[in-house]
Amino acid sequence: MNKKVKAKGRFSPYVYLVPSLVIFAVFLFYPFAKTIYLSLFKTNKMGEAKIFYGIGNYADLLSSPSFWNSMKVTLIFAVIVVVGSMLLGLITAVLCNKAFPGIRFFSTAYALPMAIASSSAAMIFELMLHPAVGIVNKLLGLDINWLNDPNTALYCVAILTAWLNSGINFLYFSAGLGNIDDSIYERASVDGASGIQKFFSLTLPGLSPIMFYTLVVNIIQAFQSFGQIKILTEGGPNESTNVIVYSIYRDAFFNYKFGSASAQSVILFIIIMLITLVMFRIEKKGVKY
Amino acid sequence: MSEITLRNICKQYENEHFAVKDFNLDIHDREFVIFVGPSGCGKSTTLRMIAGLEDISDGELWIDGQLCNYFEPKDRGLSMVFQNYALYPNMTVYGNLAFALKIRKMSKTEIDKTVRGVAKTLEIEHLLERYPNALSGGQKQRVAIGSAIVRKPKAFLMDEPLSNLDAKLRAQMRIELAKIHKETETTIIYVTHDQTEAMTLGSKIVVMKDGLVQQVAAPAEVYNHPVNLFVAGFIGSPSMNFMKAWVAEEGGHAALYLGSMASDSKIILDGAKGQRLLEKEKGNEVIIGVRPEDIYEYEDAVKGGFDKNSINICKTVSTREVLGAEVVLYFEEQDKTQAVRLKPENMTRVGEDIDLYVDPDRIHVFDLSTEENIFYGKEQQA
Repeated sequence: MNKKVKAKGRFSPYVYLVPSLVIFAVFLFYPFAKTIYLSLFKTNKMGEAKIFYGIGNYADLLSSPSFWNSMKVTLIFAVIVVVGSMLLGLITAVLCNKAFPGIRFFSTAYALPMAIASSSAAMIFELMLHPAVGIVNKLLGLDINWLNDPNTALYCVAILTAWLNSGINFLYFSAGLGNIDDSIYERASVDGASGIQKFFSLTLPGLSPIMFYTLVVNIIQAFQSFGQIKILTEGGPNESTNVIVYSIYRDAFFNYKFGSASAQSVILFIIIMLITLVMFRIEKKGVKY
Repeated sequence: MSEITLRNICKQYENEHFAVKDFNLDIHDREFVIFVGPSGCGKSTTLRMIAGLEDISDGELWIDGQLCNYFEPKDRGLSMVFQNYALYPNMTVYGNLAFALKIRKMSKTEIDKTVRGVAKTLEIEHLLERYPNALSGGQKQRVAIGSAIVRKPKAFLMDEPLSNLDAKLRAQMRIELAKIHKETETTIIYVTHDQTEAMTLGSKIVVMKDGLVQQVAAPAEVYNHPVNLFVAGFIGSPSMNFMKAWVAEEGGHAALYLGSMASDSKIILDGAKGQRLLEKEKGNEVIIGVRPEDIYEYEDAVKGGFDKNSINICKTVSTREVLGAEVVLYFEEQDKTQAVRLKPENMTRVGEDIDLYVDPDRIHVFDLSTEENIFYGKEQQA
């Protein structure tokens, strides 16, 4: 009897975890394990593992120029997106941190990209960037085929993504700024600091804890961007926007090379995990309060 | 040298409400000026206007002969200590002390020398490498004061700097502030709602209420000669006792009848004070104010020679507080609790009656409608 109660006590915590574990298992753990499994096989068109290929898929990738191009494109894309979206979020948050007439309008406007689906934003951008009728060419008086030129397509997609991601950054940074005590700015004013000195000595360090979190989230988000690329460029022209997530999609659902796609997924996972680990390591040293 | 002059300074908010109205004050070099008053009286607002953290709606602010209304805070040459210390959380104590100097592009060796000098004065040398979140309240306070004195400003502005400390630490820091004032020989403008701080630290006290200056004077002057009912009641602890009385003439002297004309408790005021009272208020009802230490037992009244002229208030003691060096008894009069401060030997217990005599020379009389002190009010000072 006593033993039964004890056993019950030992297992009951796990029972409460079952619902979330089931969801994680179905949508995360199982696909993840299956991806690793598939990455070691050659598959048929149904995505079924047929021939054990070992690390063959990985070896093929590492020797493929297309894969390295993907990596390069992804890196450039991620840098532009992370820097752009964080700068945009930070600047708009700092601007809106002061009370002035119309502040609500501006706050809403800056946070709005959060509420826009990447696909609809992409379609609006497509119109704006249209070589013949697009407003961008009209305003700039240029005649550039933005999305079909390998020199500009990646930047266009990256800037759109940066803008899309800036909304949530605006929100994070606004919250972070709200946590900075106003009186330290007053003291700095009396101490003789200029606006720029205050920004670099107080605001940026004050935001550093949330800055770190935002950076990690943004990097992960940037690596996983897909919708806007699918709609605007489909990885082209000439693979100039073929970021790794799009390359995975293309290999799996166009070329039916599920093994190769799985291997790329695993590589993407490892990259993101390494970056996150390094960032956490740095955070422990960098944020001092 | 620093002379700060405020001329008709006003602070008005958008809803037309005046936070400060017509504030006039001359602050001389090396003065320790205290703004004191209840919450919301405009004392902090005035300080912040001097600092440049609030716009001045009307009036003129002169610092060392320069009109400073539109100067940025950094160009006014003042430094400020805030109530919540306002230490930079991302900088060490050293960084906090050095910040204002770095901005002024002082050389590193000079900064180091100055910072360490100030740290030594305030006994915070061992804390220099710590961050503010690892400091106690008292230590934060020292760092805040250190950050203010490190760059030798024209004047220090202090906004309730001791209010977040416990009573013992507050008393200790009060003494240190007085010492710092003496050593730095700088003007200090200090805001507090604590009248003990005001009385002990200030060389000049500015008592404020509802945005208006009530009285500007030395601490003893404010205590002994309050200009009106508010100042009389605000300064002093326990506060002054107030009772209503009627003024009548008796044998050429002024007589004050406590409560009503038929009262057998009365006080005779002779001499100039009596004449002044009769001139102004004969036949009127007035408010008399008596400090708890100006009420005596019979023997002391006889010794003081005022037992014949004084009110004899025979009262039942409602509360007794023994404070060591003195005992404070409370009794009810005119539906108000009144206090009397007596020698510790007094053994009257709660519920017992006690005969009390007021020293007539020490009473204050206030006009019932204007609440001005009839003897020391603004009219007399003018």
